[in-house]
Amino acid sequence: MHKPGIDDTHEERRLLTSIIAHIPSGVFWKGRDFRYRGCNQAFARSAGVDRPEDIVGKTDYELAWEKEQADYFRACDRLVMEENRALLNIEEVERQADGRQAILLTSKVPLRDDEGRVCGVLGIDTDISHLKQVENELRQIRAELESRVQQRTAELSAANEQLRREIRDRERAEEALRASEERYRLVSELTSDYAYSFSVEPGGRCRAEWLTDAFSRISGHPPSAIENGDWGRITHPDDLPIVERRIRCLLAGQSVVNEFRIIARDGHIRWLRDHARPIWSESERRVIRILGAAQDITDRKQAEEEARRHQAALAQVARLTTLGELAAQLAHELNQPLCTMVGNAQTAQRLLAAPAPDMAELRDALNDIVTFGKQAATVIKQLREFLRQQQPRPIILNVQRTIEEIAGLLEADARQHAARVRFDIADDLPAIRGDPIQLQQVLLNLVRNGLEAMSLPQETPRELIVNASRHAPEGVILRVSDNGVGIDPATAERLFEPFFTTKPAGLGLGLAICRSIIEAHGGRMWAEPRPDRGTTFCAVLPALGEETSS
Amino acid sequence: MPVVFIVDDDLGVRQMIARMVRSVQLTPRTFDSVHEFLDQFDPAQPGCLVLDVRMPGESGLELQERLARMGVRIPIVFITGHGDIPMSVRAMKAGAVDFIEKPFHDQVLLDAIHTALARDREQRKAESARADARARLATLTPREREVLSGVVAGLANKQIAAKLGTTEQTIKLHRGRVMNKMRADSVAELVILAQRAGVMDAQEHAPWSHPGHEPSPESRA
Repeated sequence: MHKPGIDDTHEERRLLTSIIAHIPSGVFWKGRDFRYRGCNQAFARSAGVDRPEDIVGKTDYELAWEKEQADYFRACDRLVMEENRALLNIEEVERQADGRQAILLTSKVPLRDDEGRVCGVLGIDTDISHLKQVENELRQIRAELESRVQQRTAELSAANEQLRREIRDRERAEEALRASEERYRLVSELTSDYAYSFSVEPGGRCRAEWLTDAFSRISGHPPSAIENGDWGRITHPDDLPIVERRIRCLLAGQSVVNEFRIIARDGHIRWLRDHARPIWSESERRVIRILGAAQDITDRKQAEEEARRHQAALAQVARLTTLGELAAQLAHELNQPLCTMVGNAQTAQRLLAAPAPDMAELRDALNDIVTFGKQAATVIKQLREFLRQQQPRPIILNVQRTIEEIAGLLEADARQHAARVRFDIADDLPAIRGDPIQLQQVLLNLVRNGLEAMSLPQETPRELIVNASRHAPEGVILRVSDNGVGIDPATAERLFEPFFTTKPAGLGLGLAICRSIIEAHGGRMWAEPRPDRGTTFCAVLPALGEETSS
Repeated sequence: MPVVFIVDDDLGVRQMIARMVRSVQLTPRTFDSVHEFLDQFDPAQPGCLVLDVRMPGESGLELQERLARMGVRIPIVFITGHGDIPMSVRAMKAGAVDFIEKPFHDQVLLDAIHTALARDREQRKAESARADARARLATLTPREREVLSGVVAGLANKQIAAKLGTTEQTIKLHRGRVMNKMRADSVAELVILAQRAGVMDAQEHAPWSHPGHEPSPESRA
C-alpha cells in the first residue's frame, strides 16, 4: 500500500539525515562566505567541536586545524566555488583535533541553488590512514619479496654452479660439519651451563636456532631476549664493548672466549664465560652460523673478588701492626743472644775462679760469647735495613679518608676491649702532606693505648673518641681521648720518652715512635689529662703549604 | 746422680745453661723441644727440669700440665724471655720452683736449680718411705690390720677386744705381732708408718670409727 507523496519526501529526508549522521566519513557544507552551515558528528569530532550545531557560522580558521591547513581548505573551497567544479578523491594529510596525523581522502563538490548558481560547497572526507599503512606495508613486503627472490635466484644459481662443481666434496664436508656441530652441541651441553646455535644471515643478523634451557635458568630471561642475537640487551653496560668486539670477531671467522657480565632479570649481576666459534661456509664465503657455550662463573668471580679484598685488608693490617710486632720481635731477637752472652760470661768467671780451670769449657764459653755477640749485631743491622724501607712516602692526603680507611679495624679493636669508638671528623679539613700508612699506625697506636688505659674495671662505659678538626693556623689536629685511668702531669711529661712505660708488658716504644712520625711530618704531639676522667692524646699536622720542614 | 734436664729451643741458651750447670759439677741433659724431652725422659731418674716457657710446638706451661696429669712430680724451674705476670702466676700456682726472666744472673738460676734438686730428693725420699711402709703393711693378716686400725684410731686394747668380740689378751698378742711386722719401736712410730702406708685413708669406713673422730688433714696427703 505504498503511496508516493509528502510522507515519502519526509521518509527520504530522514533517511538522508541518518546516512549523513552515521556514515563513517566526515560530511560538511559551507556557504559562499566560507562559513560552515553544518556537518555530521564524525566531522565535528575531527574539527574539534563537540556537536555538529557548534560548527555553524565558523570558518576553518576558528577550528582545530593549523593556519596552513585552513589556508589549504580555503583555496580548495574557492576553486570549487569559483570554477564550479568538483574536486574528487584528493589525498591530504591533516592534523586532527586530537593531534593525530591522518591521511584523508577528500572530495568537494559545489552546492547550487535553484537557479543553478553556486551557493556553497559540500565536502566528504574519509580517513584512509589505516588503509594507507596497510598499502605501504604491502608495498614493502612486495619489494622485499622481490629483492629476496632476486637474491635467492642469484644465490641459487651461484650455489647450483658451485654444487655442480663440488657436489661430492661438499656432501662430505657437510656431513663432517653436521657431525661436528652435533658433537659440539652434545659436548657443550655436558660441559657448560648452556649452549646455543645462531644462524647468521648475509647482512650479519643473527637468529637463534636453538638455545638450551639453562640460559633462562641462569639469566631469568626468556630465550626470546636474545633470539635475534641481541646480547647487548642483557649485557652489563660496562661490558658492552666486550660483547660488541666478540660479535665482530665471530663474524670475521674467529673463535672467541670472553668473560662478561649480564644483568639477570631479577637485577642481579651474573658473570658468564662464553666460548663461541663461527662456522664458515666455503660456498657463501662468510660465517653462516655461530655455535657457543657459556658457563656461569659468578661464584668463582665473587670468590676471586672476595679473596682479593681479603688479601688487601690483610696486607693493610700487617703493615699497621708492624710497629708493636716489630718491637716485640726485636726484643726477643736481641734478648736471646744477650742472655747467652751474659750467661757464658758469668760461667767463664766461675770457671776461672776454680783452682784448675777447665780450659776447654772456658774456650767454648768465650767462643759462644763471640758468636752470639755477632748474631745480635746482625739483628740490629737487619732492623736498620727494615727501618730504611719504612721511610715515609708522603703524598697529598685527605685526613678524613685516611681515618675512615682504618675505622673498621679500630672499631674491631675496641669491641675486643668491650669499648666503643666514636668518630668525630670535621668535613672541612685541609689537605695535608703525609704518609697515610704511618699516620694510620699512629692512630692505631693511640687507640690501642687508650683501650689499654681503660682495661681495668670501671663504672663509666668505656668510650674512645677519635676527633679530627681544623687547627688554626697550622692545619689539622687529631685527638684520641679515653675515659680510662688517666695520668698525672709528671707522667705526661715522660710518656713520649723511649722505653718509658706504665704497662707491665709494654716496651715503651709505641708513643715514642708515634711522636717521631708526627714530628717527621712537621707536626707536634702531646698528652693532656681530661677534666673528668682519662687522657687525650693530641697530634697537630700542618696543612699543605704550611709545613716548615720535614 | 741427679740430672738437670734443660728444654729450650734456642741452641745458644741451651748450651749456655748446660755449661753453667757443669761448672757447678752437676750433670745437664739438653732437649730442643718438649717432644724430644718426652721421648727420652725416664721419671725414675732423679733430677729437675729447666724449661723455657715459650717454644714452638708444645710450650713449657703445657708440658707442666701434662707431667702433672701423668703424676710425674719433677720440680720445674721456668725461664722466659718475656716477663709476663699472669703466666708466671699460673706456673707458680701449678708448683713451679721458680720463674726466671732472661737474661738472668747465673747465681739466681743455679740457686733455683739447687732448690729444685733438693725438693726432688725430699719427694723421692718421702715416696720411698711410703713404698716401704706399704710393703710392711702388706705382710699383715686381715685380723692384724683390724687391730692396727684400732690402735691408729687411738682405742685401748679393751675397746678393740670388745669391738672385735674377743679378749684383751688376744688383742695384745696381735698388737705385738703388728709392731714386729711393721718394725715399729713405739706406738707413735706405728701410727706414722700406718699413715705413710695410707691406713688412715680408709679410717672412716672402719667399724670402730665413732662420731667426733675425723682423720687429720695431713693424713690424707
